[in-house]
Amino acid sequence: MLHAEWPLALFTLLGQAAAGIYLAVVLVREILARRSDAGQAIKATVLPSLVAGGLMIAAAIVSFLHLGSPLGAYRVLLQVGSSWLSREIAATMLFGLLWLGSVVVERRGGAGLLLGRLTALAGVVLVLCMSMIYQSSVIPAWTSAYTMVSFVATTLVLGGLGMLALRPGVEGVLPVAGWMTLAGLVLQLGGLPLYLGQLAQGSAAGRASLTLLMGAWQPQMWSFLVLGSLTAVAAAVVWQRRVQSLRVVYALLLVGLVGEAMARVIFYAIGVPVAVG
Amino acid sequence: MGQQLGFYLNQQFCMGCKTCAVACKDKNDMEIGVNLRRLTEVSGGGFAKVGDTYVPEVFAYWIGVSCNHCDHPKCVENCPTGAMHKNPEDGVVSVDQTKCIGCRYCTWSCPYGAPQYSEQRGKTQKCDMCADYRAQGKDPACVTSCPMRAIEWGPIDELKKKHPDAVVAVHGLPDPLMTSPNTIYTSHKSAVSGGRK
Amino acid sequence: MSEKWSISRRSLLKWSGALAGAAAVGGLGAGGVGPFAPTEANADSEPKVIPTGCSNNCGGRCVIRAHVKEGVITRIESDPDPDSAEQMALRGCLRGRSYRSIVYHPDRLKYPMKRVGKRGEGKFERISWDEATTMIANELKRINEKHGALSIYPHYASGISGPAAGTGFIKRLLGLYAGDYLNYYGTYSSGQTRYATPYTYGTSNSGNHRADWVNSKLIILDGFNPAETVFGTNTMYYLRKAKEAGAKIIVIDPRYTDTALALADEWIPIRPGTDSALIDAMAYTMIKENLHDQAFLDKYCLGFDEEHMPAGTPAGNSYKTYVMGQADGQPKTPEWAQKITGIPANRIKALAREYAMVKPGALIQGFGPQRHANGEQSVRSATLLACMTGNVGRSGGHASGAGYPPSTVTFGGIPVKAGTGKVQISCFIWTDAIVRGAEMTAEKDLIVGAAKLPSNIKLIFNLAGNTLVNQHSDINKTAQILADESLCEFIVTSDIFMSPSAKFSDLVLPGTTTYERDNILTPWGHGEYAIYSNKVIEPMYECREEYDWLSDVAEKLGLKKEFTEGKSLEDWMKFCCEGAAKAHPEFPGFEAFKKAGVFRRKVAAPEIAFAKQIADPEKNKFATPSGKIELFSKALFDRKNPQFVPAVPKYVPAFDGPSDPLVEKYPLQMTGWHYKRRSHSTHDNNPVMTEAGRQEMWINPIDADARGIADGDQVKIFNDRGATLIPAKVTTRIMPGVIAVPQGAWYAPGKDGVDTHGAINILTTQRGSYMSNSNPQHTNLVEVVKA
Ligand code: SF4
Ligand code: SF4
Ligand code: SF4
Ligand code: SF4
Repeated sequence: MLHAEWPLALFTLLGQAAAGIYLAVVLVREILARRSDAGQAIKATVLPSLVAGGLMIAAAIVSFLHLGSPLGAYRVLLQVGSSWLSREIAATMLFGLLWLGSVVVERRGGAGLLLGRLTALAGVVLVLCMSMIYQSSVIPAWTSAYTMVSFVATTLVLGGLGMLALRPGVEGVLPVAGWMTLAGLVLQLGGLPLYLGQLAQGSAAGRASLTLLMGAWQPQMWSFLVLGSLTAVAAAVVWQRRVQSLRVVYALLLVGLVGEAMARVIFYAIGVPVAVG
Repeated sequence: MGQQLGFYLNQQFCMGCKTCAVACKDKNDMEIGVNLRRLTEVSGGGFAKVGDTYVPEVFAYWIGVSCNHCDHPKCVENCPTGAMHKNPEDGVVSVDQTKCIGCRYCTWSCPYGAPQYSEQRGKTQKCDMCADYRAQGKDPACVTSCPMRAIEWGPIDELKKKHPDAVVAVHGLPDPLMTSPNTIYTSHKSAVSGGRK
Repeated sequence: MSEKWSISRRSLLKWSGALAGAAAVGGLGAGGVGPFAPTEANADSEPKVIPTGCSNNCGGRCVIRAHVKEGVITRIESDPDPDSAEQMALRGCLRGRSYRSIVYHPDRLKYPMKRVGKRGEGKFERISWDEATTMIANELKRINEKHGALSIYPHYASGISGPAAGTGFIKRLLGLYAGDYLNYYGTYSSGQTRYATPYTYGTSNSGNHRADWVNSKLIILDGFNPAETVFGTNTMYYLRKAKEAGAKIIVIDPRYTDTALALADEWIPIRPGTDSALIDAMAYTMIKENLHDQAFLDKYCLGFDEEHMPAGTPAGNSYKTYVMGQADGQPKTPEWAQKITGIPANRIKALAREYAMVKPGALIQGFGPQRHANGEQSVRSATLLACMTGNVGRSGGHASGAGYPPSTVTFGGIPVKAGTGKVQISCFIWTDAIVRGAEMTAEKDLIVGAAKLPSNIKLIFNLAGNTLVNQHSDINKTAQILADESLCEFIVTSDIFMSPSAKFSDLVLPGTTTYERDNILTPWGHGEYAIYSNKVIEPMYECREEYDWLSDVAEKLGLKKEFTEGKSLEDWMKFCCEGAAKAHPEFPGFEAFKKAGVFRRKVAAPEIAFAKQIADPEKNKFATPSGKIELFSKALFDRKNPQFVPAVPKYVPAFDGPSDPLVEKYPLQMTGWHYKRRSHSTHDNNPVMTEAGRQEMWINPIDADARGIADGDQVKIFNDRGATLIPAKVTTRIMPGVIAVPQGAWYAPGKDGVDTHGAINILTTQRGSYMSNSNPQHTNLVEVVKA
């Protein structure tokens, strides 16, 4: 199923990275604002804020590639009342608007933290909507609560590591990045056995997913486990030792990113729908 | 709502010939890989060795499914554009081709694999119970194609009355509680739900 | 990237479709996008609906209503009429329904071609129709002068049936030009049963009309799988009706077929080619328990017991003497049969009792059990059992044997010169006749119409047939014989695709599909109707129907006037209708028939085969030499080959059968079957049918496990004759010890000569069946390994 879904894999990764980085931005600002003032805090986080917005725009563009008939994409908003996909797009747009608003306001020096906080909230809502799309499908590998766990985890890991790579020297970044990354990976790795157990005990489609995971996709699975664990350990070390070497920080981001990408590839690859037979 | 329409399948006489599937495919001009009506083979059992012979304890049957025009169509609920909709008049669930954007969300939402994405059209296709034929007073293409006369269509209540033995869940079908489908079956003797598998 | 590209390609196609209009259908097909590509260019106009037909050689013939817009077929519908008490709709199956993707297949032959490489190599060069027909005329002249008319062989071909078939017209032309031609008897479908059934009954028309099946209490289907084979439009539906009327249905078959799945109350798996052993043991049981209808046997039959033998026959030759073991010391007990058939003895006994006591009962044999080395015996055994139970000539019963109905719709045929076509070979031995025809005799090789053949086969007309290579046995041997250009000197093929047979031709001509010509379609026998198959579209590309280019050949031979009589193909159809008008007073005439598309003859009640003979045997004799049902045949007795061609039906172990010592080397029996996705080899390249059913080998989990084969694995099947690659379907729907490969897949050799497409005939033998020299294509021993 993966070959058809690669735009979605990319879209969700980009979107979650954007939401995560913006979340990190807001958390760092909260710390900085407590020490100096909001203006300073904002100034210190301009770059990651811009990157987050850029990633979200990229995500939105990629999402078009997933559509068979992209010209009608505007209609995607018509069913916010029932469709998590409509809600997801609505959340994406809300994030975009709030982000644009906050950038403009911040540029003008109208320093307030509120707009940023709202933007971060929209990002979090977006990630939850993304997850709900899959959770409301008929694909047991996706309907599990683990989908939300892992989407949130990816958001935290990519947000934390992204922030770290962009502003390694800024005060507050290390603890925020450290907390986010570790929390994310603990959730993601820790939830895995439960998830696998769930698949094993579930329907035929769930077991088929498990078979794929243990068979054709086992190399990717191991890569994720190794890279994820490595990322967690390395992030802890960087945080505790206050490592500021750019080379180390970039390497950490790369390892973390590849690990999360692996997890996402697996996610789509093992999606076997409930079926007749 | 008017009367909910549905299908009836006499599974005991379905020989899995796939004529219905091909008739549907031709009628709707579907490409390879896109099938609005599908047949699935279920088989199993085994052979017991008795002396120098094997005695069969084998079962096999076919399950024919198109779209069940469900009472709780997950496909409709999840479609972001409203392209997938349930006709308030007859309960038929279909894809408005002018609205569908090919997001394929519905294809993840149906336990029966009914909505099928067409690469050629960039949109999802699905059984509309041959709305055009019905408008002309004709029966759906699959119904009149079956060499065994195993498929019927009509108001589901009438079908249920006509076939009091028919059930919604033959063995091998997804849990009907997921979407409340409107296809009923006279079970193949080996496909009685909860029967052998 | 694939997603993005597909978007741009899609819109491109849409545009090209809109611009090119009607031609876009072919264009889309050629682009490989799919068979039923959207035809948006024509979306608005109303289609014309033209009555035509489906003439796949499945035994049925079905009504087709083709929708045409601007010269392009846009939809295939079948019989729109509802079923009524009087008549069933003639609904086409998946093959007929998918024919559109044959018509618009990108691989259609588009112009005449002559061979340029070695024969069989597949290298061809485009030529004009004029060159092609000149070449045929010249070769015909040359070979006729050098080797004589009986060296010219219009080959067995079933791609087109009915009067429009090229085989009829070539016979007409050869009669006019050469004065004769070498003909054949029998078919690859029914060779053994058509040969053997008349020994019992004097005719192959031994079946009741299907509408009578509702009167049966018990129906035993022996190797009969109409769910896939079709065997007459609505045959499965008639069986459904019989079952609903209360008949119990038992299926005897090595596979749990789709027929068994939909109808059978019980399935009895049997080792292929051992039906006679089962029947012998059933007969033994009936005699032991005195369940047989002795009165019927006494009154109507010859040869059951010693008391009813033709005068002058030495004692000890009756069936009873054989089956009770008085002749050979081996009583044909159920225990004896268990070892041979793989059916438990008590099951055999129960079946014997049931068939003897539940009356009326119909033992219906398909053509599978006869397509064996010993197939004639299976046929004769089944007729014997029908007699032993008194089910002959009786409503709800069935005389068994070939089972064609007593009468059917009749049309005229294309007239050939009187006296031609009398010299005949069994349709199966033509490769042999290429190599050593001049040595063949009536006695040894069952030549009919002459004591011996004057010549080897030197010229073959293969018009709409794939039996030249694909459907004949032992492809490697056939290919070797055909590749020798000094043996058969000229081969003409007319077809719609470059089939494996076309590849072995010197001249390949682009023929027409069913929708590109007029024709009259009648089923094999079962069905009270005929279909007028109207031309729906003009022939595509440079394609021409056979009659059309044969007229050009005739002209070059100076015989155009005599050959055509100034008639178009449609005129010939009209001519054939005169025959129908004579046979059926209710025939509405050519024009009305053509317009309606269907003619149904009036039948008061379903006919029962041999009803007259049974009602009044004195007045109505069977068409056998003795006038009785001949369980013992003097004619067979006189063949003086009691071991392999016995005078009474016997279980004769088959070469390459389960008791052949060859099982040490090749332990699996392999049988073929007619797959729903093809009609013989037609539709093999139809993508819609490939989707409906992949070519696959059935194997029981017991045999698969022993070989480490998992479901879906690619495997190699092989024996001394060749090897083929095919995916395995590991299924309990086939008995252990037997594998099955659906016949008809197109031979596609890889570099090493191993077929890559599951073509069964790479493994079958050219050795003819014992009694009639017919094709034993279900009798094979093989081994299977993971590829
Ligand atoms: S069968 Fe599937 S596509 Fe059809 S209505 Fe139900 S959920 Fe929707
Ligand atoms: S593919 Fe079309 S019908 Fe299906 S959910 Fe998306 S917009 Fe709706
Ligand atoms: S009703 Fe029409 S669209 Fe639906 S399965 Fe039958 S033929 Fe196909
Ligand atoms: S056409 Fe009829 S018998 Fe054939 S697969 Fe469909 S429902 Fe079954």
